[in-house]
Amino acid sequence: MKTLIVEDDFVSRKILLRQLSKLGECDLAVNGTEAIEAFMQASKESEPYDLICLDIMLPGMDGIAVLKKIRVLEGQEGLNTPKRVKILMTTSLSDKEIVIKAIQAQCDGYLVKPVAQQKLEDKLKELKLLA
Amino acid sequence: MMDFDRQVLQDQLGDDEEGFQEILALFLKTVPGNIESLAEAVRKKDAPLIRRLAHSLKGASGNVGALKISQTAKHIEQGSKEGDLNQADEFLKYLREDFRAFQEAVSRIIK
Repeated sequence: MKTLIVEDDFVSRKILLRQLSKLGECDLAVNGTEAIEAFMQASKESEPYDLICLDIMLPGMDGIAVLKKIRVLEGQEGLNTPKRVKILMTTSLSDKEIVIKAIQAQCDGYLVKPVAQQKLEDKLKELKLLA
Repeated sequence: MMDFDRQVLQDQLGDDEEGFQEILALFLKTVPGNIESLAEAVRKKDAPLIRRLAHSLKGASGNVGALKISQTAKHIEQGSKEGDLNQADEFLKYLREDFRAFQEAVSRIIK
């Protein structure tokens, strides 16, 4: 499993990195622009990500904008739903409205931080990223 | 409320003791700088920046189980959202106290 972690906060980034690097290769991005670049680079090299963990609150381009942009890029490549990257939005907000907005913008779920390892793995199994 | 709830990080990292130590050390190293940036934003009465920095600190401290810091940062964030910066100075004082208490609580754990 190849994962891109997009988090501006270093502690959250580090925790997710420790959790997810047990399960495969991980790359990091600290903002939306870097995330889009990493996504495009991986696609270009034909080594796309299986999973993107995307923080909703990012400085500048926020997580929802990144999510939408990635789905547009995938659409241009003709990638349909089963082929597209799984995206889990991460948030420390219990703000329902933002999460609902994110789901409508076609992510594959969300994780409320702090994310227990077990909860993370259950979610990945649900998305068939983990056996 | 606890200064430090070890369980929060434990639930996230399981038996990854190295990660546990690394993240706590990183948190201890960077939070004083974050508090100073926040103090600077309060001095400048820059409400959007206060909101962003306080939000960030709330999240980071919540994730490592620094519950009091997280709670105080949340108050500052809420105040800045509502345009109320009057209490920010007082909350900053609490934030520094919370951090000292946190440092003390983890000093026995960190290697």
